[in-house]
Amino acid sequence: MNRPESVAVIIVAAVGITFLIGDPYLSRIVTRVCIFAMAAVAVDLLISQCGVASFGHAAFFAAGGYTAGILALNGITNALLVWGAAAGVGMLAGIVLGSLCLRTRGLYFLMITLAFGQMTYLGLQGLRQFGGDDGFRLPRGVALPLIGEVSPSGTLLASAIVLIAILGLSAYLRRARIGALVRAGRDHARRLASLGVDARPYNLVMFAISSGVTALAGALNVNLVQYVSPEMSTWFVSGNLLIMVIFGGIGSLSGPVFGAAALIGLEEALAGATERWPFFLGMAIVMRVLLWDGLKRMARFLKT
Amino acid sequence: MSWPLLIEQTFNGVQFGLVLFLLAVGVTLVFGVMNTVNLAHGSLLMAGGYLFAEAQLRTGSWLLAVLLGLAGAGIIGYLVEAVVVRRLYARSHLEQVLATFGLLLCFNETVVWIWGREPVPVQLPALLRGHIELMPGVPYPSYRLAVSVIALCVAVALWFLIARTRIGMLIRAGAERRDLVEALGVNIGFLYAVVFSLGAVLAGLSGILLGPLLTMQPGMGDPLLILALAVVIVGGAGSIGGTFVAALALGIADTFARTLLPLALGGGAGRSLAAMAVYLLMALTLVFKPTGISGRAGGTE
Repeated sequence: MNRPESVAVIIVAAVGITFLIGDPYLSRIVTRVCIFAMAAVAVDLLISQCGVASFGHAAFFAAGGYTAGILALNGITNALLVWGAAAGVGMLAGIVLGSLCLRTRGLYFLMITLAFGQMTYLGLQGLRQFGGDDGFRLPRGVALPLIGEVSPSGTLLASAIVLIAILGLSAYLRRARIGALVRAGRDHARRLASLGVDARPYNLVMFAISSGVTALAGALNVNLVQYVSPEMSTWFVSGNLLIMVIFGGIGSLSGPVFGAAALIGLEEALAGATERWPFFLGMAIVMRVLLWDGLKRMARFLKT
Repeated sequence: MSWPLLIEQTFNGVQFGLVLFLLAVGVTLVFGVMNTVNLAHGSLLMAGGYLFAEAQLRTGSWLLAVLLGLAGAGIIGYLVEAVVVRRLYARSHLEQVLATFGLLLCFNETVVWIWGREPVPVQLPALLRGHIELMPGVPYPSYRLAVSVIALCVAVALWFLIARTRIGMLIRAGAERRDLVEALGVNIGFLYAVVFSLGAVLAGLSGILLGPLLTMQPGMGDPLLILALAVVIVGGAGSIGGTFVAALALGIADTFARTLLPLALGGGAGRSLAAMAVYLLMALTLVFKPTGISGRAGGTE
């Protein structure tokens, strides 16, 4: 399912059903799925197109979250401004970190992104004025011009709309010249170079877009839970994003969306059924990697 | 900073670095020889520590508990390799990361299941409960000193194993040219199992030694594993010597940064900067050596 229209139809249907049921708890879960799906789409963009897997995207997720939180502390509640600022901060951070990280490939890319993720986590812990280890609660929610304060169902609606827009962006990037160039660089770096094309700036743009989208997801997540803490940037969060991508299958447009739904759904279902849910979640992840034939497809995409 | 504090912190740094080395050996060998990343290595540390604590509670003997803990970590390591990790060698790094991440969740929850979330108490051996005067006026816990000595002895034994025995030669050859070793008819599956189990035993030992110094709680090995990954990157994948030097350097740097920076910069910011120092070093290594210090495994297309 690689057409953005068909994925959009499914998302609209899912969100519509959620509104019809009207259960606030379910609505929260669906909002979380939309938010994490955005970040997973961003991570998948790097894996499937550029051929590098980031183990540090939680840093951008937290960067977006802290941007939203700090703006709220300073009384800025215009939602469009907050989300725009979060995406901007994420892209800037992405340009800086991407230019350093993209020098490496394969396992070393995982390691250098992990290092920057850890630095972000530890750095945020040191920000005493923003609560240090504990983080802080947002004083108020965001508001949209003309509409007013964004309610929980408003956050769901906004997240779904943004997710659909980002799927459109992802589909566009895959079709566009930049997508073809980074894929060529992924598969045949030397051949591309001998054609006189330097793939690095294109990879960097992809990385910056990916981190901007992840930061936007982080800001939306903070609007949902009204709370910011360094926990947003732990390597467990980065790991979870990778698991969502793998769960859904790498490379298809819709994969990360279904992966996010599968992981969050599985978490909720297991947590409802047993106190030992992390054990079974771990088992499910191991099984998914070891037993799923569809993953063989992935080897073609990620030759590292 | 006064002299006694300086000496004490140097000893602490060396001790931490040596234990970190024990943990990192397994990671660097699995990384260098099998070209595989194992996030569940910290769980083997935890397994060693918890089995040791349980055995100590039941038998009352420190030495016996150490042996049981080591054996347990080795057996668990062997089983993990045979059941899961063996199937990951030919997979992409992303799949390795995820599958071993899943294993880590299983291990942490299993420990919660058996021992609960509360920290488990560990006793020091009776012989090592006191202090030793390093210099007049500089007392130092004898247990910490013993940890350094034990870790150093194991490091020497490991050097002998790697540099002077046949299996060590095969491990070195595997880290250098895996394909050639395989082509020469060496039972590579057996070699991998040995390397992984050896790493598991050493991780278990580091858990046992750290048990009384840290709080023994579920997930205790995970932050240490990330630190060990930094050691492996800075030291060069597959290189025991490089890992030894990097572990000592990072152990000492980390210990000093944690003492000095908060003094210089004050509480929160200083502590954070200190903890970041290690990862900064890791990132800088990769920025300037994008294919690792050794330039072989991991980054290959």
